[in-house]
Amino acid sequence: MNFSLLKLEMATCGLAMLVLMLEVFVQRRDRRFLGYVGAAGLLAILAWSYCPSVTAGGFTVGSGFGGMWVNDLMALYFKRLFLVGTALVLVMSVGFARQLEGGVGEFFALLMFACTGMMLTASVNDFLMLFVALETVTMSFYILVAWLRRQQQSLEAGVKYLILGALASAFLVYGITFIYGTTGTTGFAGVAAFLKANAASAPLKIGLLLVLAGLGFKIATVPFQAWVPDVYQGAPTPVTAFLAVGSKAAGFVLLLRVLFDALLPLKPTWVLLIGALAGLSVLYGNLAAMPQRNVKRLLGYSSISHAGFLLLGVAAADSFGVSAVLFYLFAYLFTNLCAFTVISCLAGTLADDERENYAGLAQRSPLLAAAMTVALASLAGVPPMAGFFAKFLIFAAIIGQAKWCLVIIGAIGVVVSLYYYLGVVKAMYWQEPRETAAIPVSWPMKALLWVTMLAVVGIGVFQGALAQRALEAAKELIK
Amino acid sequence: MDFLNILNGTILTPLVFAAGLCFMPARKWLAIRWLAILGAFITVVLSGLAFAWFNINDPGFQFVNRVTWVESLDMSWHVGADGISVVMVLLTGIVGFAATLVSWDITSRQKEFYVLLLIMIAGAMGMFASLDIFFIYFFHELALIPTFLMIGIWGSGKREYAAMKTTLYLSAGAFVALIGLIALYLALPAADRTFNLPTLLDYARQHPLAANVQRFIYPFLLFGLGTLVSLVPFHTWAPIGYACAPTATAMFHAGVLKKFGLYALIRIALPLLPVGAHDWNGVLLVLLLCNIVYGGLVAMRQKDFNYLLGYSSVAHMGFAFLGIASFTFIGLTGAVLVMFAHGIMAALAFGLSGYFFAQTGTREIKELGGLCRPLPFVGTLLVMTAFASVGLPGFANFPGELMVLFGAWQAPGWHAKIGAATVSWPVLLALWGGAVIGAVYMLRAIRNICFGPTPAKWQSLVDANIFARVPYVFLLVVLIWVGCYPKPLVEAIKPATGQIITAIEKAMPAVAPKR
Repeated sequence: MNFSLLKLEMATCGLAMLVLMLEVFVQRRDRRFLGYVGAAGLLAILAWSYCPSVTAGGFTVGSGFGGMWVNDLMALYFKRLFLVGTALVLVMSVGFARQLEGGVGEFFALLMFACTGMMLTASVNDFLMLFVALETVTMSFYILVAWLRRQQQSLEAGVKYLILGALASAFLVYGITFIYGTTGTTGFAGVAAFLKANAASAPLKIGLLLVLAGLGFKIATVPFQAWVPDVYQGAPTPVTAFLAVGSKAAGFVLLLRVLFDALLPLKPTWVLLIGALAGLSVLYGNLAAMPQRNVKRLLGYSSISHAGFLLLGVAAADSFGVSAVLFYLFAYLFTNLCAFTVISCLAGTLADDERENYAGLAQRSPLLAAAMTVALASLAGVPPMAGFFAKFLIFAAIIGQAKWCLVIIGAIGVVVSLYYYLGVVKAMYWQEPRETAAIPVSWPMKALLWVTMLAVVGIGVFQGALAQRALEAAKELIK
Repeated sequence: MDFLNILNGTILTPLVFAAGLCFMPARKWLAIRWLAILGAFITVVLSGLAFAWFNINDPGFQFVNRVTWVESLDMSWHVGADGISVVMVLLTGIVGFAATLVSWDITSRQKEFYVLLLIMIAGAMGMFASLDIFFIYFFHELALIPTFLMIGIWGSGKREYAAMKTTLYLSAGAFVALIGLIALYLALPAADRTFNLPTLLDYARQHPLAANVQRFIYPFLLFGLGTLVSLVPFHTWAPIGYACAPTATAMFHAGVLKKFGLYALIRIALPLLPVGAHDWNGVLLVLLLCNIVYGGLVAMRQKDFNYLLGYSSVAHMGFAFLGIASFTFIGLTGAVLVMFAHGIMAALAFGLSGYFFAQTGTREIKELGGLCRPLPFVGTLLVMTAFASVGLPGFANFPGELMVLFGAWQAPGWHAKIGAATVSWPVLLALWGGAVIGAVYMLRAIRNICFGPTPAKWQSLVDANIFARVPYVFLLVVLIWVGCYPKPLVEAIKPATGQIITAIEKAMPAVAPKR
């Protein structure tokens, strides 16, 4: 039992509990600043993860707990992604605190508990561990999504997320019982060994399909996407952002681990399945986003389409495709946080997130409009934004595998997505505003906007370092 | 990165000025304008110096600077110029400077306008100066989004529709081309994969790609890049885009950005995929003749002067394509010269049209009339631009189109016997389309706009003042200078096009084109 393998997770969990306790000692009106404490703590943990004692020297890199746990470069890559994402979401939540109606300390703590769960998912090497880690994330989100309990939309989103999430968890655990029943093991390595030695029986296939269905819910791919638009629209904006960047990435790391560790012998089969899901998600997400008028809802549909693009990289099924997925997730993190920060800054001023309310935003707040434009351009995959290089890698991966059908579907998706993303830009820049009063933006939010914008452009122009890390992590997954 | 490298200078100067303008207070718009003009001026001086210092006896790439960018993909910041690039860099500088100068008519949100314009100039510089396939594409896309915003914010008429249509067409075209470029990158064995163009050219010289691979990849590039150059039937974005765009955007896009497709075809597709290009040549020939003839016929029916100019640019692009399709040394050299000449001419035409529009508020040819009387200076310039467009000797278009036609005449397999004479039918059609149809629509429009009785409402128009004249005169001087003395440009272009033709000859001895 080498607990030092878990030290990043334990530190994050401890930090969450610390914030929870600190809340008692802080004046009610100052409690929202606990978010900064949390963010600073997470960044400290992030810095710690770069210490040689964590990354090298062997004692934390490796597997433990009877093979249930693996700490490799990909795990570290994702843990860092979750730490950065959660820290930025915490800062965003501080700006959103007025809308939260109390209990902000718990809100911050829950975000960090969810982060702990996500960091656990990064190291999962066993189906039981997978379930535990995923439920840690999902449970936190049940509460977070329904946080605005006086608002009907938030409650509706909460109920929807709870019911469909519980259904997905049921799929997952049911599938795991099938797997255990047929193979006699829950470890990824054991399942892989079993599959190598024996042909997959029907109950085992059912079990694996059920597990994939449970994960499909997390990453919001077709046909498990039904919850996305309503939940994205109804949840508090920082929670939506966290769902988009954190929950999705957690789903993807699990999917990668299951597919490339446990199910590697079945690769020819699941490549077809993932490819089909990818194509459907790209088409559905993009086509359904076209008529949307609510910006948060639109980003919900766009999140389905991005799940599709990410799955394209998975369907390429080589180290290059996986590295593209890893790069994409980081680019997507900053891009989405930039977009949702803008939405959360507007939450106090605009009546709702309808596109009409964004009309003339460029005249009311040039910074918000510019940040939204950068984010949307990155989502659409326009240089010099990070999203462009991410899509470039994904397409390079599937063209490399000569999957021309998927290339064509992806190309259609990219062009269609330009239409609705640019529709928002159009509203912001050349429709006349209904009101002309300037929209105030507090300086921490300004800082957050600048950080995310610079990150989006920075990753888009200086892609080398991140692409290298992603490739190293991917090569470790696919030996 | 070598910041003293002149090509890096041409890319980074407008970018630095754009970044600097972001931090200026928006109400100081006059200072912003002058700073933008200064930035564009430094850029044009640098591009002029690059052309002046360019050694025409050296057939390789000059002013090279290479910095590794993404090692695992062998992607690098790699600038360098041969004769084709250096001519296009010069064109970008000239048109960019003129477009910045003419923007007096922008009266709202000047800061954003000049920032976007400078980004566009930097993007265009980057795509012509880069020697890395990824960055060539990257810079082109960088210039595209400003186009969308500029048409939408400062445009006129159906600007929202035009902005959306132009952007979707161009993005779709660029994306198809990107798929082709990635496929090209992946067609090499894993150890030799690179985005570095000189290495790729060397590689292709020694190990030509398999013919079926070439035939598969080339249409992606042809139709993707063709969309960007308004190759029929993907041309419908061009007229409405230019009609609705603000003057500077129309000038810069029609003059410079549109040439990207041709440039990439000449630079990437021809030397790397000669067999593919040869096998798809028949399709290209039919489409480009549609460009010349059909584009010209549609231009005859236009009532809006900018639409007419838009269709005329569709027709002119056909000539550049004809030079490429001819597969001959003189034709290809002529194509590059046409790209330069049309760039200057289109910029001048759209600039003058913008001046008329700012004065009269209309672009309807019927509404205008007799404008040479109240506006003698601008009117005369417009007449001369029309002469250039028609291809009159003395203007830059003439030598370019002449060389293209010579090249097309030499092209093997395009001849038919009519009576006793053997004639090249594409040349006949192109001549008819360019010289006859082109003359009809241009001269008719000029007659209606500049001559005839002057309606009372146009009597009080004021001619351009000395400041407003500068960009027009600048462009016209270049047009006449190149028209009368094209030698410096041709001498610079020749070694580069010669190398491309040599590469084709080596790859396909069977269909060796003539020198």
